[in-house]
Parts: sequence; C-alpha cells; structure tokens
Amino acid sequence: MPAGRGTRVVAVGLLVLAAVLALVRLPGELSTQSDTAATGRAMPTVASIPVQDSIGAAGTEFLALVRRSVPAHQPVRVVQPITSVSRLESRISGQPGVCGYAATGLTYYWLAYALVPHPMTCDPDARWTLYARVAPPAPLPPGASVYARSGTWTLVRR
Amino acid sequence: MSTAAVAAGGLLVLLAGHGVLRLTTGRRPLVAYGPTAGTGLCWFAGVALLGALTTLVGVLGGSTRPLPVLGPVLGLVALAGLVPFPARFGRPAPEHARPAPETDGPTRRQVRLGDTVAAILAVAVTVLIAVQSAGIPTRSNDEYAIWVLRARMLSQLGRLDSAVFADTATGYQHQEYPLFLPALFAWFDGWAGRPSDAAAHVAIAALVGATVTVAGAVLTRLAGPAPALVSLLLVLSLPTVLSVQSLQLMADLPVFGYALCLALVLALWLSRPDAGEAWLAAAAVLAAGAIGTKAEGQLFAGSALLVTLALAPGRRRGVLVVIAAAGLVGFLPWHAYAYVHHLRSWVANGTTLSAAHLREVLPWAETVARSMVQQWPGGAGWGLVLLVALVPAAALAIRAGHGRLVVFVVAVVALDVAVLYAQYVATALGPPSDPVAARLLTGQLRVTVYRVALVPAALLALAVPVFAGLGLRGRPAPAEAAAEPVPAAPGEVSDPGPGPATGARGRSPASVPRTPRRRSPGPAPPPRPRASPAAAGPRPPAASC
Repeated sequence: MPAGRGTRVVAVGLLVLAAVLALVRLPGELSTQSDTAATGRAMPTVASIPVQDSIGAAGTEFLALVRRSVPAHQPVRVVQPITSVSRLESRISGQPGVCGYAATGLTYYWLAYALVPHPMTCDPDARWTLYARVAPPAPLPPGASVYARSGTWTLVRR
Repeated sequence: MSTAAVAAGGLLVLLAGHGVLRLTTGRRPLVAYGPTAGTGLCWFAGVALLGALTTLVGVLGGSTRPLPVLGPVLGLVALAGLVPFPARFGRPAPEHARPAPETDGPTRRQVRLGDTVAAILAVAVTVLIAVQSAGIPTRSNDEYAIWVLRARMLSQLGRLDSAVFADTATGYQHQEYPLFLPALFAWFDGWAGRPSDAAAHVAIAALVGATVTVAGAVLTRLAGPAPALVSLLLVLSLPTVLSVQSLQLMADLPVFGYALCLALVLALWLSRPDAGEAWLAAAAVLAAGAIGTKAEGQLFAGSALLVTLALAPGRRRGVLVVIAAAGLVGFLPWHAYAYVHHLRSWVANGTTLSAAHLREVLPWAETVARSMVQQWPGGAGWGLVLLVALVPAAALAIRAGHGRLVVFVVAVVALDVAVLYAQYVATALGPPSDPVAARLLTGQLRVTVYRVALVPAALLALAVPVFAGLGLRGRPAPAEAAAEPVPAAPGEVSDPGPGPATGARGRSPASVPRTPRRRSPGPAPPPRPRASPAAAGPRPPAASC
C-alpha cells in the first residue's frame, strides 16, 4: 500500500532535514580533523619518541638513551617524585614513588610507553632503575652505580 | 618494503575474515552480503579472529608475533575460505527452509545503487583518515597508557607478560580491557618489522571504512539507498567522530563500528525475513568483535541481542542464543586470564556494587544525567532538531507497519543509555561533598561521554532518515491478500504487475494496487493466467543480493 501524499511530503521533509544537518556539520568536522591532524603530525620526536610538553626534549632524549642502553627486554624500575595516592589506584599498598604508586600516573604510563620494549617492574632488586626527576638515594645501594645522568634524570645499574 | 609487508598483513587478515564467513555460512561472503558489505564484514571478521587468536595464544603462553602461530593459522583459515566447497556445503538452503519473501524491500537496482554509494563513501573515508592520521605519533593518554602500550608489549616482548598486563594495575589503566585492538596493532608492528603507529592508524581507518560499508549496505536493505546515504552522512558528521576520534589509536571507534553494525544487522534480521540467514553469521562475528574490543562492547552487544531476543518470533530465538555464545567464545580466554590475575572490572565490582557505596554515590544521579545530556554526541544545536524530528519519523515508520523496528531502536538506545548512566553513577569515587570525587567524575564525564555514547547517539540520529524512508515506502500489503488471486473482469486484461523487483520504488507484485485495472492500448492480447506472487515463485531476495 503506497504512502499517501501527506505522508510522502513529511517523509521527504524529514529526509531533507537530516541530509541538511549532516551536510552542515560535515565541513566543520573535516576542517577540525585537518587541523588536529596537522598539529599531531607536527609533534616533534626524538628517536621516534614524541616529545611531550611535560617531559621536554631533554627528558625525551634521556628516555631514548635508556631505551637504547638497557639490553633488550630487560625490565626497568621507575622512581618518581612522591605524590598522594591516586583515588584511581587499585593497589592497596606499595612503595611511594616507585612503580607508579603514589606518583603522577600519566607520567608513569608515558615512561612505560616510551621505554617499550622494556617492561616496567616493581622488583626492588631490578638491574635497572630510572630516577625520573628525582634524585637517586645517596649513597646508592651496594653494587649499584650511575649508568647515565642528564639533569634530574638518572639511570642506575646494579 | 615495510609498506608492502603491512599491506600483505592486512590482506591476510581480510582473507582470513573471508574464510571465517565462508566457513560459517557455506557461502561466499561477497555473494551472500554483496561485495560492499561482504568486504567490510571480511575485515571485521578477520580482525575479530586475529584478536581472539592472539588472546588465546598469549594466555596459553605462546608467541603473540605473526610467527610462528598467528600468521600460519590465519593463512590456513584464509585458504580454507578460498577452496571450492563440495556442492552440498555450498548450496543455499532449500526453498522450503527459506523464510517467506518480504514484499516491500528495495529492488535489486536500489540495493546495487546503495551498495555502490556506500562503497565509494567508505573508500573516501578510509583514505581520508589514513592520509590525515598516518603521520601522527602516539600522544594522547589513553593511547599510550592503554591501547598502544599493550600493543607494543605484544609485538616487542612477543608475549602476554603479566608484569605488564597485571602487576602495575591501577584503575586508570583498565587492565581488564580485552586485547583485540592491541592485537591488531601488534600484528601490523610484526609485519612492519618495527613499532608502527602509521600502520595502526591505517588499521583504524579500515575499521571505520568497514563500518561505512556494512552500515550502508544494511541500511540500504532496510530503507533504501537515499535514507542509507543520509544516515551514513549523519553518523560521520557526529561531532568528534572524524575530527578527533578517527585520528586516535583508541578502541572507541572500532567498538562503535562493531556494535553499530551489529545492531543494524539484527534490525535487518528482525524486519526483513528475506534478508538471508547469512546475516546471522555476520551478527555473531560483529558481536565477537564488540565484546573483544572494549568493555562497553559487552553492553552494546548484550543490549542489541537482548532486545532482539525479546522481539524475535519464538522459533527464531534459539539462533540468537547461538550468536551470543559465538560472540562470547573469543572473549573467554581473556576472561579467564583476567580472573586468574584478579583484573577486576572498574565498573562492576564488589566495591562499586555494594549497597553502602551505592547509597553514598546516589546523590550524583542528577549531576550525571545533566552532564550526559550536555556531553551527548551531537546533542546540541541541530542535533536537538534531529531528536525532535525522530517523533514524526517514528510515527511514519509505525504507520508503515515497522513498529517492531521502532521498538527495537528505542529499546536498544534506552538500554544502552540506562547502563551507561548507571555505570557513571556507580563509579563515582565518593559523595558529592568529596571534592576529589567531584573533580574526577566531572572529568570522567567530560572526556568519555562523547566517546562511549556514540552507539546510542548514532542509532538515534540515523533513525530519522531510516524511519522516514520506511514511511516513504508505504505499508506492505498483507501477505494473504497479496497472494489471493484476483479474478480478471470479463474483457479486461489482467495486469501482472511490474514483475519481480522492478516496480516503482521497489513495489513488488504484492504491493501493486489491485484497482483500477489498466486497459492495454490497442487490440487486447489473449488473456493470461493471473500472476500471483505465489504462482510466480518467490521474489528474488534482493535484500540478500
């Protein structure tokens, strides 16, 4: 049973309305996409690691050095400045500042990403420890030595 | 070399998906679904197979690199899909086992037109996204903290290392998120021979393209090519879909693609019995992909399947249970891994669901509702006009006899929104008087609603053109009346109608008005037997192409 004339008019009107809405929105979306993409592509990198504002070029260069220097697939323990424990933290205990516990979470994740393929570890006896914007303990634990240092970034090897 | 290798890896995924669909339906996907939807579904199926396989191999302690397991298995599935089947496996279902042909669908020509337009749009969108995004490095927090980090661990460590996937768990990282998307990125890393954000971006672009092909083809079969095209444009123009999300290596668009296409395929299956049973295999693949891509996928797949189960005729409900089970199979290894490693859901766990916590966070209900409305994808400005237009559009569809489809869309959207709303309230970290909880919840709503609510938002948006299109087609004549032979008046020549699938706006013989009868010009030809649809045999199933 074909639609009546009134129904057809309403239906076509709705179709046109929807089409107009889509065509009004699309150019803005495409323009924003182009701008966003251009900004993303312009992001500087150091040894293929993008330079995050919060890390800076020097910090990124040090991360690239760590990634290069630590033998393949050996894990890295990360120590950061201590903050309050995040409400998003699901661990109920840990050493503050170590392994992302009671530390700036997003920075920790970025370090984890930048150091791939080296997995992060929470092992206190780890062979490699990265002190990220925090001074290593003095004196260093027995058997440990500074492998590399740049500003507030230090890589310690056991 | 690297580009060619990545292309070869992509082709293998596509062919493996072809194999999955061929093996499950017994038909060639490009024939069963048409070339457009068939190609998109092959990609969806291949990605889901790769994700399920990578997860299984990783959980069992095997290598998550293309060699020695993943590539050969995908290759075998691809080969199995290419070899000719014995006739008894490849034959379509016997006539009596097929559902009664629907009399109101689009014509073959309309289907072909809709498929062609969807294919062109899909290629354009895929190329656009790939070109724009391929040079963007991983930079946003969910990319580096969740999706790409896991992908790189799978590709660079070559295994599912519990030190990465479990030990450093915090709520932010959503360690319980499944691995289909990281597995896809890792696969391309393996073929590129190094970590490749560009290949991952192309993979996302291809998933968006697949979404356009499948959604376009299904919508064409539901409502015709024009409503399908308008729907696709509306979905692509949803704020942030192209401008932001298509450029990110995150799971929101992939899960959106799987879940939206699943809902549309189920809607097609509900509305058009002549669509062909092959779409059920597609639904299983899409459900598996949605469930295995992101936690929200379980909600979207579950709600679509649940509503379909409620609306489907009794004898067809069993099939839906099989689809749901098939969708869950690929997810089970990851579920087991998460259980063993205590990777609890951030949303539904003992804490968030405890009575004391719920009492504490219940006062957030109003704030969450208000914020969801404010952050709703495309919910402001013109979007509101579209929401208002939904009411007359739904009325037209109901009037045209598509009430079940309207109920389906409304119920799926309502269920999705209700669960999303409940999860936001339940995951508040404290009462409104807690400033930290307030800050975190506000931020959470601001940065996630526009992404996770894409499926219900898109369904609402495309419902307007689809319902209007259905209203435009008119109400199908009741099957009994259509099949009833109409005696020709003496001296009058019976009009057999425009013939199968050639009527104006797709009207089949059953929908051609019986009166007034048209007299043939010139001398009357000898009278012919009245052609009823039953006598003419079933109409070629245009919807299944």
